[in-house]
Amino acid sequence: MSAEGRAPLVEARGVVKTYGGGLFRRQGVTRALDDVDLDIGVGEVVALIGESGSGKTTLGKVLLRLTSVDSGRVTFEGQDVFAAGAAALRQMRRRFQMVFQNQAANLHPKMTVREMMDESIRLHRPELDDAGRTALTSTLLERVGLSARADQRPASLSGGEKRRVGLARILATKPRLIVADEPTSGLDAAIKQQTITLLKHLKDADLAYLLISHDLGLVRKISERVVVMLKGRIIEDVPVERLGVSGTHHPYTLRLMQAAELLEDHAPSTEGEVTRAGAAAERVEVTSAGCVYAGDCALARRLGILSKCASERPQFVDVGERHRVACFGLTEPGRESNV
Amino acid sequence: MTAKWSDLGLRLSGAVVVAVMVVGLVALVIPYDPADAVSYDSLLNPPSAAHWLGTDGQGRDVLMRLVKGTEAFFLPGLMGGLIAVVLGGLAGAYTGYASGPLRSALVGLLQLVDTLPRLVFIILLCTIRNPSIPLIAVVAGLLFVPTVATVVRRKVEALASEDYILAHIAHGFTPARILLHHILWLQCWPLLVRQAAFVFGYVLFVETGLSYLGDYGVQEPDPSWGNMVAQVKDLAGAGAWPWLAPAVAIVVTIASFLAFGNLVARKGEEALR
Amino acid sequence: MSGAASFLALAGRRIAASLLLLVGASFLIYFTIRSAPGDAVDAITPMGTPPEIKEKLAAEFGLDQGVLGGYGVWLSRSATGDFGESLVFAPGQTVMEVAGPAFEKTLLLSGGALFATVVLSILLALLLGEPSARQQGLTGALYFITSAPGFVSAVVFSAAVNAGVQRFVEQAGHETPAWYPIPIYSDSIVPYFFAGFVLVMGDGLLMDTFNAVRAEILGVRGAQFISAVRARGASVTPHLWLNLAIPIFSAFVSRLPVVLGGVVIVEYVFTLDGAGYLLLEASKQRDFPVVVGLSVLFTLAVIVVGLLSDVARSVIDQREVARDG
Repeated sequence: MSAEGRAPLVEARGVVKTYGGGLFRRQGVTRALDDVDLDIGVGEVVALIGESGSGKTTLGKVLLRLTSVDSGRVTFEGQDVFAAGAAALRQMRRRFQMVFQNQAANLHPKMTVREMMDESIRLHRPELDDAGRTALTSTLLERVGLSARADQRPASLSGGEKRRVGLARILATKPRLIVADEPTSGLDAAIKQQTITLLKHLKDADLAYLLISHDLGLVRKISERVVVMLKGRIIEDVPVERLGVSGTHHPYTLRLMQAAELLEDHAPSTEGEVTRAGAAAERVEVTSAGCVYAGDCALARRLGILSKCASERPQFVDVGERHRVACFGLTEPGRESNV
Repeated sequence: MTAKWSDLGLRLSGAVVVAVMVVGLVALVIPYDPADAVSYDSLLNPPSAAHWLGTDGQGRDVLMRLVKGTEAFFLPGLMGGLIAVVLGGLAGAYTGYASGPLRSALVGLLQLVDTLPRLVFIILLCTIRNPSIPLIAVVAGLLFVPTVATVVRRKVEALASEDYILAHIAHGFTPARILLHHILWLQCWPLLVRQAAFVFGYVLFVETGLSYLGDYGVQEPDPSWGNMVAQVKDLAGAGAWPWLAPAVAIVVTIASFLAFGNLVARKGEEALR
Repeated sequence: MSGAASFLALAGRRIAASLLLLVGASFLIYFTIRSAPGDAVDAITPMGTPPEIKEKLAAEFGLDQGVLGGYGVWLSRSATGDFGESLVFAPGQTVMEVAGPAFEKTLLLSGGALFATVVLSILLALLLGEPSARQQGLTGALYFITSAPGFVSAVVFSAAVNAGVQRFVEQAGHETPAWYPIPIYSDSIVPYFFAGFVLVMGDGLLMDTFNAVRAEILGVRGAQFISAVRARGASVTPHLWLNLAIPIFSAFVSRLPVVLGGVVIVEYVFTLDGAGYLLLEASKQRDFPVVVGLSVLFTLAVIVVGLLSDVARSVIDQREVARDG
């Protein structure tokens, strides 16, 4: 999984993160991230998709050292993120930022937009004087289209406007990577569109995005590469132009695409149901070493490789330019009928 | 809760709180010699133009003693409230955010202190060492640290669960600044005002209570609202003003501080929502 | 079955935690004793105590050892209920002989007052129903009156009763009652009722309890399952009270520590020989073993009350889980 043709910005290698366990807890250990590798190039827009609980938000937080890891290594601009000391981390935090799902809740209710901007600029641009801060505040608010709202408090802002305040604060740091967790969830169609336009508009050659979303419409409109996660693992890494039923290969990605097309076209499709019916037919003990999709996978059953899928971890296979899939089915004879 | 009544309550209690503060400050600079104040020519006078609240059994002006009596609880009450709010706020922020053995130890200690029956512990302390009202106020403040810590800890945990802390860390703020400035200062001030007002009321209660009992509080001839109320024992129905005025003052002050704390906090929390 | 087993396990854990709390809190008490300035034995005994009694006290409280070692000595004695002998208040009697009956009286008085408070709160809540603008004046005035410290309400109350009795006795030529004038020591039970009344009306207890009880009643009334019962056409009242029993019990026990604080001074004002009166008298006379014994008993009461209210709350939680699931 490399970002060809670009200088690397973020490199994650073998990241493992578990929840639960503990000395006295009886519930089992959940592997939120199970040996994950991910590269993001300078200025690249990567989308991370997958169902909730697949570990995509956790991966985003790990890249920014917002949560600990059990093992693995993350570098940002060549620096080890988890080994960085307090001063180095502070410098680093200016270069990578995160837009949270409920960004609106993080604005302070008693501060005006201008005061919040001022606070962020003071923190990240200590070299600026009062006049410099005022000027930068105006510039940034203009960039996100909030100039008229500078003296408002969050209570009088709309949901979309609150998110834009969050973005403006983030831009004050001159970031090179923005991790955006569900930036459009909970917004109505018009504001969603505005946000997408804004994200595109703010993008420059140096700024990379990691977009965490299950909104395929958003993903198609702005990203270049799509990384599909399932149960803590990356299973497919595909250029955005190939995203769809005909271009993707992993059986789980296919199911996602089919479901999405079903929603978009309202067209009757029997394929999805067939897949699910097939999945229910046979039960097999899936070990944690096996493919995370083995228990539901119709392809594995049809090809008769279920026992292999359930016990061995599939490695990535290159299936095209910048396109990798972790699935045993791809190297088995007879798979073409599915693709 | 209708706005009209709570506004009225806020104004009334606020006026009393401001008045107590002003009187408390003024009392600090007024010279008063309790021995000089004794006058056998004017024993137990009813309220008049010369003595607005009358005179007590030793001919001392009740209003003057009422004003001077604030000295016994004013600074100690502020001190107790400050101790409870500062230490409780810090402990609550720490225990709400941190994890590990130090946090567990602190939570355990807070729970222990919370278990002590406050007044009984204060009396135990008075038995052991020669007590002064400031010392008692410090101890009262310490005894309320767990209460404050608990409400602050809940707030921190609630904010942590909605990624408030994480979002601020991601933006580059240090945990210390987030906890102290963003959470304690900006988000918890209504809670802290309520608790500080409550502890002030509690210190007033303990001071006047002990002074009423007579052995550990303010001793005659120095005035305290508590030992003024205690004059009821000697007067035996001869006159009500000397003890009724401080009794009313105690009730009005405690009720106003509690109400003011609650109403300000409620308003503040509404504004934060 | 598994519900009962898990409940027992939970109760066991809570009891163990309470014991730990008692050990910790008693250490805080012991540590406070040891923090006395100067020679600890001098600090805790009245002037002119004979040296052999001082020695005995020093041995009993482990004062001749380090803080931890001394705590061990003191705790192992206290754990068997042996708090030593009273020095001044009732020389020759053990602390438990003096403090035990007094503590029973105090628990009875506090419990009775709290019970009356809860009953009064329920009646008020039923009478007033939903909070409304019209009630604000009334609840505001009640709030004001009941936030008086216990000793202030006691003084005002006694003065009023004394004046009333005096007038009654003078006019009708009756004999004065045994408890007149308040405060005076008498064997009559009447002062206990006076003290109870003052406890109910003082220290902000009534309005605090009333608010909690009203919130519970309104909450249960509005709950979905009550609507379901109503829809079936069955009588709502038994369901209402069954579901209110535990929350109200919880409101009852969780406020006992507040009353135990207030009762100390109120007993003293009415000269009732309960634990509060004993505590203050023993403290004044520097009867140290009695003061420490009573401090531990009060702490124990707070811990037991906390345990009861914890268990009551966990019963509520379990029922809520059962109802939702």
